[in-house]
Order: sequence, then structure tokens, then C-alpha cells
Amino acid sequence: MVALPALIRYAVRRLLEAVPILIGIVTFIFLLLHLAPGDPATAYFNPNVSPEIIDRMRENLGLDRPLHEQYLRWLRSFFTGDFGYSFSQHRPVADVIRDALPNTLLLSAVSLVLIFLVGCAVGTVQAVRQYSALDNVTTFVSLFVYSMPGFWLGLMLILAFSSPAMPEFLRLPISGVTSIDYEFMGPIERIVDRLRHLVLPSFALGIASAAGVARYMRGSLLEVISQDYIRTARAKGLSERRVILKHALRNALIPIVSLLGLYLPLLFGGSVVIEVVFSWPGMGRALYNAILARDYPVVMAASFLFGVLVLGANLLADLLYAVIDPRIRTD
Amino acid sequence: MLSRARRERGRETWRRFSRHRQAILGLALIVLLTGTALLAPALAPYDPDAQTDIVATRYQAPSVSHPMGTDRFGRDIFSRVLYGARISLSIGFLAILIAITLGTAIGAIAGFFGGRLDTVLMRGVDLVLSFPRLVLLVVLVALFEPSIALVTLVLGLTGWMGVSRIVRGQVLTVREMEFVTAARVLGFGRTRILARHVLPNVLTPVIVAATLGIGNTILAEAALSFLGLGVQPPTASWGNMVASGRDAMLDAWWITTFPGLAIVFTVMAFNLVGDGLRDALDPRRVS
Amino acid sequence: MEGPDPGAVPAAERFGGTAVVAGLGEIQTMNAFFSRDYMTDQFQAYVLFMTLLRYDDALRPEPYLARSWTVGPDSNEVVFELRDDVYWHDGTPTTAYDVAFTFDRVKDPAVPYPNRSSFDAWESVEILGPHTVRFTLRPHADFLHGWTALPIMPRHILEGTAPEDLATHPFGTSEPVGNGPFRFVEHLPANRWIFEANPDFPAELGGRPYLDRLVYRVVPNETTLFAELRSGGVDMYVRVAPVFVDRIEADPDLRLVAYPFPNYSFIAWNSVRPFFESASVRRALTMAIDRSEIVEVVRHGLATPAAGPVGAWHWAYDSALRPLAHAPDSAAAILESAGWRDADGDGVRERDGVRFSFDISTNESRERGSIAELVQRYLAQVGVEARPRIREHQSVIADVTSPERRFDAFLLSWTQGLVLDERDQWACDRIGKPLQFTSYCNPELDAVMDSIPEATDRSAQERLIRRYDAMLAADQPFTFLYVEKRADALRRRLQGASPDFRGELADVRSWWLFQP
Repeated sequence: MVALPALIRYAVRRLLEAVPILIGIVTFIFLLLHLAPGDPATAYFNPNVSPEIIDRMRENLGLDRPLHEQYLRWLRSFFTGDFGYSFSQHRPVADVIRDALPNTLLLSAVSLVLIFLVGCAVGTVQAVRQYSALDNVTTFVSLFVYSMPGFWLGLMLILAFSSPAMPEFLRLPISGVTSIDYEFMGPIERIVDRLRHLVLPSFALGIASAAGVARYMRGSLLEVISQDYIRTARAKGLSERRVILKHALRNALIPIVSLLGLYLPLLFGGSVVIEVVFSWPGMGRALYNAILARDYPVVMAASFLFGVLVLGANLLADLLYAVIDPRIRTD
Repeated sequence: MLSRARRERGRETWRRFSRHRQAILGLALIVLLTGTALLAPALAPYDPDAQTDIVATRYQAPSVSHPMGTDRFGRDIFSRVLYGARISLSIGFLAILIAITLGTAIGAIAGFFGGRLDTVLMRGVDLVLSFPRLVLLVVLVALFEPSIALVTLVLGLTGWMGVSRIVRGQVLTVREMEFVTAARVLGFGRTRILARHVLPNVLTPVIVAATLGIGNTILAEAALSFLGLGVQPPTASWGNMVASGRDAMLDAWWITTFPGLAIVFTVMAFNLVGDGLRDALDPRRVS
Repeated sequence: MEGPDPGAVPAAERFGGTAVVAGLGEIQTMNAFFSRDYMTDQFQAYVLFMTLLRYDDALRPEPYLARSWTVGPDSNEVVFELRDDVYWHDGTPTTAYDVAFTFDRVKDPAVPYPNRSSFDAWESVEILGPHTVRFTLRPHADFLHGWTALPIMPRHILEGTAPEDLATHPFGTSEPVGNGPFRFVEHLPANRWIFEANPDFPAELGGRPYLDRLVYRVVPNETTLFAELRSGGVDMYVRVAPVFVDRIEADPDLRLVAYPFPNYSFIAWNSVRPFFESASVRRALTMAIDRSEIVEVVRHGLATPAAGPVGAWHWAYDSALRPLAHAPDSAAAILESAGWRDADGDGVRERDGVRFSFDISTNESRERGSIAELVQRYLAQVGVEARPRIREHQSVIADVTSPERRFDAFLLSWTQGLVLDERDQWACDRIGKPLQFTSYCNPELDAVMDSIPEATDRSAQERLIRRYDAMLAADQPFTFLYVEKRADALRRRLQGASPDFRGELADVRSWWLFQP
């Protein structure tokens, strides 16, 4: 175990190092975006809109100013906590984030729980029943799911669950975050409604990673089982169930926990496609639409947040490693 | 002497790998896929881009003349899957080659030289990792064109960070080992030590990562096609075949299913081989 | 349909329920000064707000917020008499001051109102009474058009905001106050807009809508949208993907409504390039392209091959003007006589050492990608090499609108205004400006286009519009591929909805849900 003060010093240093990285990211994004052809006023490209109006729009948005001026202006307001206005949505970027981020976090969190619960459960079963038919079948199935393009799986789920052949009690919402009559529901109904809407997208988003976790879990548990103290425990006459649950599982889970940092950014990155397929109003879609619309302030803010999330998840993973595995140096 | 030991180890690895039945199955699949990709022009019953009398020939269910049916232009899906293998596999191989080369170089340099260089490089890795790939991709596609080369390049240039972390970790361990210390005492140059002694000993996890990465790249290309940013028609890739047939899934399931299955089996094959390699190369692992 | 007859339900029993309309795109704002797409326009004009006038099914203006109007002598003055029973949803009456305010903002150069050109001829406004307003204008055909499209905005809410800050006023996205048949309830961005019936909507205009609620949902993926429609989560899927047409028609719970719509697809030929200088060669290219097959393959029949820019939706449409027939042999002969011959036998014609080989740019929409593929094949059959370049939308727009015209040919589609004034695209003096893509110039056409707005009666205008259409059809600066038939899919329980070129929502007040 690393001493706590050293760990804190390490964490603080990493946080400080993150600042230039984040500034680097937003600067690079700014340049990259302005390099791309087109601008926000192009949304009005249309035979009925005269070119003069579009020029006026550019002027109102400050797009006619020199690039460095636009950049500095953005940076200044960014440092005062003002993300500016979304060009395409006509509202503060802070509002855009406020609406979209919770949806993404909710979906990611539920998927993450699913990934680890399902992954660990399947992995454990596979390890305990190594080389059994059950092991082989689950290995095959989880690898199959893992190998499917996410949008394809999502669309098949949608078509299956909307099919007239699907029995009524299995009908799950296939898109959106809440039902149309959500605001007329009681508090319990609302929670149930939200959970029902989460089932399919979180399954589609998480199931591939769950298959990955299952593979790690299987390997990790097999390694632990072969070690001496487990043999000792068995020799003492403890039941197999008890050996696995009380001794082996706990140790096998340690390396799995550190996978957390690995999967968080993956979930954020993988969410655009799932958000489009399940019309989930989250950050992935917001970012994607903003890039296509050249909605610079939204892209910058979303990229910044993405960076913060990934760096945070990485730091978390490294700290966990350091706590678990003293061989990793934190100096 | 060293080389003989290595050969010995190679033989041992192969022995353990070949006992891994699933891995052998995966390897066989990969050989088969690569073979069909190479021989596509000879194997394909039709020209993959041929369109004649579209209205009469489109949306045909699988039959003897069209084993996988026809798509919305009346093109033979079987032929397109064969030709698509070339595109999808090339993208997978080439992108991973780029990623492996970059990742190994950066990880090895960071781990071996350590100090400030290490810090700078690893923060660089963090930067690329925390950079939204989607932004880069759309801008590049907007600036250039969504061609095969561009898709490969983008997937390669955004896929190396994991490898560099693995390699760095390995190098950190290996460089403290006796034979490296010995080489240092013997006065060998640092570059030579890195190239001759350290690198060969860290390649194991790289090979495993590469095998697993090819599958992920093929999946990533499919996701790009779904967003309209992947390889563009008329060139067939498995990804854009699944993506472009998606609206007809109810009426013409075969348009997405066969290229979809091609993706699934390919990704599975590479993963099976990757797992087999990992077990075979890592003596600590129980098999 | 079998079962109970919806027609038998008396009007008094039609009230209640929530209808869900869904489409691929987000509706960004309820601020009428910044509307920019068709669905947004509709929700503003037909649901939340009111326009002074509206169109009947022959595109003739009829009273709406304006009870009546009188045109002064020489058509240089119009007096609108407003209804006095219309209230903003916060209780404030809608008056002539709101109309004058809206007009002032539309004319204000600091407000980039996209359709300002509809008001070019309108000069000034004067309030004669709380519900009477007089405008002065230059005489102009279709001069009332702007008032059918511009919803009146509430002065008492927006007056205090500087014109250049109107775009970011929360009125547009989170707290709009309207005066139309439905009131604003909630906007969940990227998700849905919720409206509820306005009980105070004037009885003379039909009174309270039958529906309790109207919801617009964004579902950005076609398959998901269709699945929602099929399973009952959506009552109307606007602008359905053609691939679902057969399924919709076969489903007893669904019905399909299709109608000509002012959206056409075209290939623009850059006439500065040596290939596309002459009208006869452009005509030959059009003849080489099998547009009926494109309509069948890409649109599943939901479109009509086009002759010129005036589609069947327009009252002046000339059905006698036939689109050029598909005739690859004649096309080849024309190319031959224009000097384009394949002397070296490589399958591609050349002239003066230049190969007839060029790029067709288009964006990554699947429909257009497919058309580009088909066109490539058709042109190859007459010895012309067209290479599709499928690119990101904004990049294509940037290239084709640039003064340098960085393209050979491009393929796009777009939605026209109901009043055709397309001088920005064709007039000689607009060459170099963003929308004059092709650099085509025909002084005779310029004269016709200039006289259309001057024409005072419909028969004179009809002659001119037909002439305009025929001249462009003859010169083919674009290959006008097809005019879209817009199709909407409706669940059978949704009654009283009959979408046409004015939009899906024009009759939303009388929609009702049938529960057998």
C-alpha cells in the first residue's frame, strides 16, 4: 500500500498537469473547427434566403472577426465560466449541457453497473464451471455479442421489441427517456418509467463491454483459484461455494475494479451511435449535431467536458492501481 | 544462444497455442477470410457493382443464384461481401499497423528513457485519449473526403494510446532485468539496448493487443458508416453494407444480416486468436 | 376500413387525447424571426402563433388573424382589420401594435430574418386603431405572401430586447407565449415539444382544438421512427423514408398520405467548364439519365420526374411541359454532333484533347449517394465519365457557393418558397454571388423573371411563370431530376388530418383521436 500523503501529492500533481492538457484540447479543437469548410450560418442555405441575410447572421455571431480575436474572446468568457450561446439552438451552451449531460451520465452509469454485474457474474460462472458446456456456450455467446456492430444490435432490439408479435408484458419503450404522459405520473411510476426506458439502450451500450469484463473475470478468477491459499481453504474442508464466494471472488475482483477507468471513456465515446438509434437526448448527439452545424461554442464546451471526464476516469484508474498494486510508482 | 532460447520458446508457445482449440478455429477462420478476400475476383459469381434492370432484380431473397440475396440496386450481396472483405480487412490490418507502430515507439521511448520525456509523452497520450475522436473525424472528413485511406488513417492515429501504455509498463519492468543491466555494463548504446534487448521482450502483449485491435477497428468502421462518415459507396465495406441496408431490415433482412455476420465472425476470429495467444504467451496463465 | 365509422362520431365527442407527431429533425426555436426549416415554420404558424392570413388549397390568401383586408387604389396601400378576440396565452390581447412590432423587426437590418425578401415591397406601417393597421407598399404580385408565412410576435414580451439580441432571448426555446390554437407547455431539447389546447381560441375560427395535447418528438433515426409508429408510440411520422411505403400501405392500422411538395432534386452543371457550356449538351446529359428509374429505385415512386423548376404543387404548373424523355441513343448522337467523340476507344468521349470526365459532388445523405451512383452508370452508357464525390454537407455547400465555383457538377435537393422568385439562382447580375451556382446567363430569362413580380393578375402571372419554367427546362442549367412527393404516415386513430403542400399541421386544430 502506498502512503496516503504520497497518493494525495500524486493526485494533485496529476490534476495540475491536466490543466495544460485541457487548454491544449480546446485550442486544438478551435483551430480544427475553423479549418473545416462552412460555418454556422450555412444552416440557412436555402433558395429563399438571400445571401445578404446570411452575411448579416455571420456579423451578429461575430464570425466576421479575425480568428485570433474570436479565440481570445471565447477563452476570456470561458475562464469566467461563461460557455457562450449555441448558434444552432439559440440558447446558452450551459443550458445545452445541463439538459444533455444528466441523460448521458444516467445511461453510462446504468450501463456501467450492467457491465460489471453481468460481466462478473458470467465470468464467475465460466471460471467455476471451466470447460463445461455452460462455459463454452456462454463464452461463445458473449463473444458473439461483443463482435456485433452496436447500431445493428440496437436496431434489432428496437425491431424485436416493437414487433406486433412481442407479448404485451415484454413491450419495452424503444426510444426516448420518458413516456409522453410522464408529467401526469406519480413519483413511483416516474421512476419505473425511466427505468423501463433505460433497459434497451443501456443493454445495447453495455453488453459488448460486459462480454469483455466477463473474459477478464474468468481469467482472473481462474488465476486466484489455482493459488495456494485457496487450496488450503479447500483442504480445511470449506464448502466449494464458500471458498469461491468468500475467498476467491474478493481477490479476483481487485484487478477488475481497475477496469473502471478503462470503460468510462469508452462509454462516452460509444454513446453517439446508441443515442441516435434510441433517440436518447445526450451529449453524444449534442456534440455530433454541433459539429455538423459548426456550432463552435457547443463543440468546444462538450469537448472540454469530454476531456475532463476522460482525464478524471484515468486518474481514478491510476489511483486504484496504486492502491491495489504497490509496485506502481507514484513518484 | 539467445536466439536458440527464443526459438525454443516459440516452439513451446505454438504447442500451447495449438492446444487451444478455439484459437485454432479462429486462426482457421482468419486464414479462410484472408484467402477469400485475396481471391474475391475469382470467387465472386457477379460483379459487385453491376446494376442492371434494378427494379426487377432488387430486394431478392437468398436463392440458388444469389445465395445471400440482392440489395436495393439488385447487386449480389454474396459478391459484395467477398469484395467487402478486402476493404474491411485492409482497414483493420493497416489501421492496426499504424497504431502498433506508433504506440510501441512512443511507449518504449517513454518507458525506457523515463524522466521528463516520459512525463511529456504520457501526458501526450492523455491528451489524445481525452480528445473527442468524433470531432477530429468529422473535420477531417469535411476537409478531405471520406475515403478508405482517410478512414484507415484516422482509426490508426486514434487507436495507439492503449498500446503505448502497455508497452511502457512492460519496458519499465524489462529495463530493470539482469540481461539489460548486463548490456548496459558492457557499454552498449542506449538505442541499441532498446532495439535489441528491450523491444523483443515486450512484443508479446503488443501482438495480443494487435489481434484484439483488428476486430475493434472493423467495428469502428461500421459505426462510422452508420454516421455516414465511413467508406463511401459504391465501394463496399461490410460496415457500409450493414449501415446502408438498415432501413430495409424488416423487409429485406438479408441485406444487413450477411455482412453483419461477416463482421461478427471476423471479430470473433481475431478475438479467439488473441485470447489463445495471450494464454500461450503468458506462462502464468492457467489453461 | 372495417369496424366502426369515425365519421359517425359527433363533433362534441371528439375532444381529448394526445397526438404525437415525430420527425427526424429538431425544432430549434419558436422565435419566428429565426425560423429556418419547414417543420419549425409549421409549428410556429399553425400551432403556437397566428399569421395575419393563410392560404387555401389553391394558394389564395384567406383571413386568419386579420378578419379582412382592403387594398388601396394602385395597390400601394393595404389596411388589415384584425380580429379583436385573439389573446396571447398570458391574457394580453393581440393588437395592431404586435403587428407593427413584428413588421419593424422583420425590416430591421440587425435582425437576420431569413424570409425578409417577402417584405421587400412593404415600406412602412401605421397604426390606425387597436385592431387596424395600414401598410404602404410598392405594387407587387403575390404581395400578401409574406403575411401567410410570418407569425405575429408578442410586442409586450420582446419589445425590450435589442434587435441583435433577439436570437438568444429565452422566448424562443424555453418560454414562448403564443396566441394560436395551442399553448406552449414544455420544451425538452433534442427530445420533444409539448403543446396543449388553447380553450380561448376564437369560436369563429373553430374554437378550442379537439386534441388536449399535441407533442412533437425528435427521433433521429428512420428505423426507430418507423418502429415507434408501428407500435403506437407515434401518430404521425412526417416525411417517411420511401423504403417503408409498402409496409405502411399493407398495415391496416396505418395510412399513407402523399402529395407534391416544393422540394426538388437537381444536378447543377458548372457552365464555366467546357463540358457544360452548351444547352444541347446539358440536354443530352439529362436525356441520358433515366429519371423514372431513379424515382422508382430511390424514392419507391414518391416523386415525379421534373421538366423545370415549377412543380405540380404550384398553381401555375404546366402539365403540358413534359420532362425530356430517357433517350440514351439520341443523347449519344447529340454529344457526337457537339464534337464529343470517343476516338481512342477507351469508352470515354473527348474533344480537343479534353476527356468528358468530371466529378459530381454530393453530401453523404443515402438518397443522394444512391442517385450519384445511378447517374454514374447512366452517363457511362453514353461515354461520359462522372465520378461521385460524396462529402460532408457543409464542405459541399462551401465549394458550390464560393465565387470560384470549386465544382464540376453537384447534386442536391432543396425546398422552394411557395412564391417563386429565383433570381438569385439564375439572373446574370447575380453571377459570382453564392446562389448563382452555374454561372448560366440568359438576358431573355432575366426579363421574364423581372416581370413576374410586376404582373398584377394571375392569368398574366401564369403565362410568365410557365414561360420561366419552359425556358429553364429547355436550357437545363440544372438537370431537374424530380419533384418530391412528400409522404406522411398516420395511424388510423388520428382523424381529421389531411396533409398537403401547405404542411402537415395546417389543419391541426381539427385533428381528433378516434377510439372505437
